[in-house]
Amino acid sequence: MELEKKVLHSIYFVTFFLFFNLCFITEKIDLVPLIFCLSSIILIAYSNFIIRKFYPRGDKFLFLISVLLCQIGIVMIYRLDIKTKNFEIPRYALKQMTWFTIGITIFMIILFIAPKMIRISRYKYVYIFIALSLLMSTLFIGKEIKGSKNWIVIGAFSFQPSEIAKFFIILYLASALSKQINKRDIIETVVFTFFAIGFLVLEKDLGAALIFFGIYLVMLYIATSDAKYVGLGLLAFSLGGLLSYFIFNHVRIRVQIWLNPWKYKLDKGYQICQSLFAIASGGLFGRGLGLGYPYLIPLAINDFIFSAIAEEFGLIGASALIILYFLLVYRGLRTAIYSKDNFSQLVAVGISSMLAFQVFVVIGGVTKMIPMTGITLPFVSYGGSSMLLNFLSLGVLYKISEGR
Amino acid sequence: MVRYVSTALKFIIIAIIYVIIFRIIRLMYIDLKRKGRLKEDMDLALEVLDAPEDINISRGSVYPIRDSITIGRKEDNSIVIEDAYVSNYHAKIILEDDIYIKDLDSTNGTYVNGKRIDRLTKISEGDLIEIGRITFKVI
Repeated sequence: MELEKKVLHSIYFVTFFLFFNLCFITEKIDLVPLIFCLSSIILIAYSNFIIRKFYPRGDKFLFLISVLLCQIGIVMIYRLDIKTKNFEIPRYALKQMTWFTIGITIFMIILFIAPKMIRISRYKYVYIFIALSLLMSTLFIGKEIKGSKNWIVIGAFSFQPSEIAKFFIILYLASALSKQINKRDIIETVVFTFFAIGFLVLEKDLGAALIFFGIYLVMLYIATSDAKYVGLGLLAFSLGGLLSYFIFNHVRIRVQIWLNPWKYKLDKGYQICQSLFAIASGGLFGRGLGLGYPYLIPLAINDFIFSAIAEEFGLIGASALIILYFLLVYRGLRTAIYSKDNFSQLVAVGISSMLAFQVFVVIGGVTKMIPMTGITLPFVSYGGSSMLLNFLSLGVLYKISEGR
Repeated sequence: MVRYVSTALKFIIIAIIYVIIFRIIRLMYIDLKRKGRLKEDMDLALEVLDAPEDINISRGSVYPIRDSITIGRKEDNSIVIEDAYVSNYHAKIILEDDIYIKDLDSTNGTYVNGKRIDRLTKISEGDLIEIGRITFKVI
């Protein structure tokens, strides 16, 4: 109990220092970051108080680690705001702060209203229907932003249905695979997942397709404990990858950029080259907040935020971030081990693997380990839909960890 | 100005983040040790000794008792038995310092070692529990 408080206090400290540092990076000393800092700390303290009082049995690390990641994200976005837009108001940081607040609210609401997990395990067709219609909706009314047709724009508000669909796919798979299953059930899940991934490929959202596939394989393996399916899945993956390489132009371009970004460094590969420069110039300890040039990377606030962090906090800071994700995923899987029923177990496994794959795909992408696919770093990247999804999943995970 | 502040703070910030990581890992370690001890104390499970062919439960399945569990035909039970001889909410296993079983006014009753129970009954390793056409063994 005492130690837990110490962790919380250290989180307040690091939040304070991060924002305090932000005050100095413009020409004249700027006090707006301190307002951000204060509201963040109040929000964290208040929600932590509620959790401790009403839901003390859940896994508090899930919450602590996520809010710390969010703070790092908001600071980085604020910092990038300074150079990317006219600096009267930190536009994106303010928005991200709003999303963070909404996310925490959703987390709380889930804790208050969510029924026992087992009760919602029987609506599998409802879940897959919601997931597929979300994915399909972008094909008809979607708008193409940044090369992927996976956005729905309503007025000033735009969101990515594929983010929310991920959550429903996990619920569907968990409810389909938690019962006694035979070959027919497995084929059914294969068909639905195939459709989901197919839509994503058509919308050119390759990162999400990769993550859906990863989640599916992990959940299938956990449910059946049959390594044969993993082998078959990987085979299907290589076949599908090869086919899409020859059929779709955008896949081919991504792979070509990945193989040799320097050849396209002035147009298609500009982003990845800048990202590599940024990471390299960070070195071991980084340049320090405000001293680097991470704003040279296009889209640094969402997909490439990891490179920005690596530039200003160095290898050590970036590794700390990866360790934090590792601990988060570990806590998620631990929740799965101690959960009471198959359904909750599979949901927890699904959510943890979603986080893990997302982190792998982004960090692998920006460091040129795998081809780059546009996807957000959970809790850190700028983005409303992903923030909502992450806090929604976190709420469910916390709920499951409470139940034991 | 920025140069000095940011260079100094960068080390402080990274140091605190690592302190947080270290503390979290330490807490997890303590937690894990406690959990391990708890598990050794009571590591009981229900094994299906005998079950008819035509229902969803197969012989040899093992259900760990990690918490209080309910057995019945309705889907929100911890162990669901799709058998006509089993009531919707048939019996409950309660995990306190010891393990107890309670019949939830089922139609066909719950038997422990061949005797129909009518109140909270303590069970221990080796006991046979009959519910409907299924026989469980506490292992």
